[in-house]
Amino acid sequence: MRQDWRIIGLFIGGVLVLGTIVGGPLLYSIKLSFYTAASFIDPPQWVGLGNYVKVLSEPLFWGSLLNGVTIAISAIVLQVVLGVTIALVLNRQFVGQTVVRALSIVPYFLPTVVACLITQWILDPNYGLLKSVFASFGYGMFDWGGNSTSAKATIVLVSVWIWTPFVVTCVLAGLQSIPGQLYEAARVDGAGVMKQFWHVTLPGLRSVLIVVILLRGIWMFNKFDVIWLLTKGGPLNETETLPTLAYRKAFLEFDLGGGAAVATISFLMLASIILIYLRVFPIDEAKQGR
Amino acid sequence: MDKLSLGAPSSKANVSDIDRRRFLKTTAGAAAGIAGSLSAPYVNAQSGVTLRILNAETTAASQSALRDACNEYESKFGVKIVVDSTPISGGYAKSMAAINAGAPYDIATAGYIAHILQYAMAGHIVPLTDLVKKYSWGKQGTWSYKGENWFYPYDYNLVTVFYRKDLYQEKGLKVPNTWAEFLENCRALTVAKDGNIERGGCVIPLASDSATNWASFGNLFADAPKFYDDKWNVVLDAPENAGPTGRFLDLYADLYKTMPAGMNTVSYAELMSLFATGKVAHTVYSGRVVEALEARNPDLANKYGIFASPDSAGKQNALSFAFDGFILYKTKQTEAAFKFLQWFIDEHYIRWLHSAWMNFQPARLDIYEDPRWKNHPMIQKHWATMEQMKSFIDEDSKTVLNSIDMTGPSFDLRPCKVFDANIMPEMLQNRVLKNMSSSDCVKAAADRIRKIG
Repeated sequence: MRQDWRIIGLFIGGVLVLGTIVGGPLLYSIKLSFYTAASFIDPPQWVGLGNYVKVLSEPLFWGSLLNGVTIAISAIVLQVVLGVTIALVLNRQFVGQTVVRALSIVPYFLPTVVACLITQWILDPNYGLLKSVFASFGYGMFDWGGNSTSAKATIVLVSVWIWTPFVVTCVLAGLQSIPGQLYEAARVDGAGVMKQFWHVTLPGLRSVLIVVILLRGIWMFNKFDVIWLLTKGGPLNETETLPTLAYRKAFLEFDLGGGAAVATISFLMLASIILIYLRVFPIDEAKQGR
Repeated sequence: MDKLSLGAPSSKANVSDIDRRRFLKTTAGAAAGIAGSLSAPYVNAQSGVTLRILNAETTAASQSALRDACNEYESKFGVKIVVDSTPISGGYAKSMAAINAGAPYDIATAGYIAHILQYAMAGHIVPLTDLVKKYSWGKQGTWSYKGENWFYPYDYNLVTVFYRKDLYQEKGLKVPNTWAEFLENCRALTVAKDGNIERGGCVIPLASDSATNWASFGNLFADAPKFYDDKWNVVLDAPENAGPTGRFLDLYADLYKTMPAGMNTVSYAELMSLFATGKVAHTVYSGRVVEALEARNPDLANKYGIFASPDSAGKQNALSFAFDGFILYKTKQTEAAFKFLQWFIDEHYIRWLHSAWMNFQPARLDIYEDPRWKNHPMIQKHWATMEQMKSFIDEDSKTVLNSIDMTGPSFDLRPCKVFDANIMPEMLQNRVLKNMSSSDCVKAAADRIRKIG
């Protein structure tokens, strides 16, 4: 076979760029996790697995892991359920369908910081819109940031608000690729709406959902911006997750080795989960199955 | 046109072609240049130098004051100065990135002692002792490490308690001298309706952040428990210190009931805005509150008063603080940067202080007598408050000045870690959000301080 050197050149170039901007910091971070340094100034000192032992022995690490998993799973479940439901509605013909489809993706365009500021503005216990609404019914405003459950719920809510349109878009594209004959055949066989959904729609969306859940899982597990903007990991570390813990250790407590160890463990955990996930739900087979 | 003969012509130029006007202009220009360079001790042959300043004072007025000074310096001495302004939270990372990239800034504004100590320990900044020693400073206005002053202060950031004089008058209250009186005043001024606190008795932050570390422990410092003994052993949970600390936590828990909701996420800005909008009767903050009142609620700017946080027994009071100042990095241009700083202090320090006229409470005592500073209309208007603020920093003042990051027998990174790890804010949170007993909260905090070393 004749080699196309331009393609090989582009490939090597791409690998080099990726290796530099992704691999470089990754390897540096992993290296840093074997050293201890009180700040960016102190010369790092080799401690082997010391940072890992220290980090893994901290209840805060396990609490942060649990918080991250809780927030990620809650958000993904809601995003997928809502996303599929909205996509099913938008997949039907109705007047103004194009406009509604366009509007449905608007939250996805919102910068995260804007979405978080709007949320804070609505929920502010002293000036917030919700406070006025509650007061008009004679109820007091709850302190959403002072309670573990409501603080987590707020993070999930904002994540669902911003990212559900992404799920809607992907699922809508998937729905349009399911052949209409399958539904006709199902109806001929006497399948109702629910049976059509379970036996035609869901299998048809399998590959899309596998990718969507994978991507949303990665992004939610690594979620930093929404959590930091809304709660900074509080109250009492109840919304601390591994990314915020890594940031806190490295950039607020200047325990660079500890922060790098948290980040490396988080990376390894995520990589392992992705490998298992793809083994259980192989994307290629899903495509073939469809 | 008359020609001037200037002696034998050189081989490269025929100066006999120079006319009178050009000669006069050239001579005058040269004379002015020589005179300028002789009369300017700040700069000698610095053209071509570019200095970089990392500025963490990001209000428009402060940025403008600094930029104008830099422009003037450039036009006078030919030294270009680039100002990079960044919020205070990003200053350290930016500064370290610059150092590690081999292109450190020349000058920076800095306030957090941990950063300055680290720079000094690693040899990244130069001492400013000679510059500092030219003036007298307020109590704890300067500090030294290894016998040298490493920064040139410009403010104090004293955390005073702001209160509503009109409400005090209305309710017949007096300025509190004890914790109990402060609590009673807060309770008396709390207004609740439909389950909401419409006007809080006070706002004292509770978040795991620098605002809480900075602003929430005045009452604790007034009772003066020790965090460390003279040999840096942690003694916060020793009986003589655990007692007052535990009682302070109980006080906070009682005060918390008079606060509006949201203390766990309250920010620096909200500490001001809650007071400026009449949502609370007391707040804790520096002089910037007065600037906020003048800008947003001028009516209230005539009705506020300040006091230092009282202790439990009415014997002394205390203020938390966090000074700001200039530091000079060790670079190839340190000499040029030093000359600029010296010139800035001589020529523009007052305007710099005016850019945050109440927040930049001078650390230098001579400034209080300087009419250039004093005659600022807003300083004149709030002179009584400024005098009161100055009384806290007078050498004979009995007011305790302290900060989480400066506790202990000497300046050290250990208490800074307590600050960075939010151990004290989380002690408060354990008390009011988890409802832990005060003694358990103190024990947990002391254990964490021991653990971080």
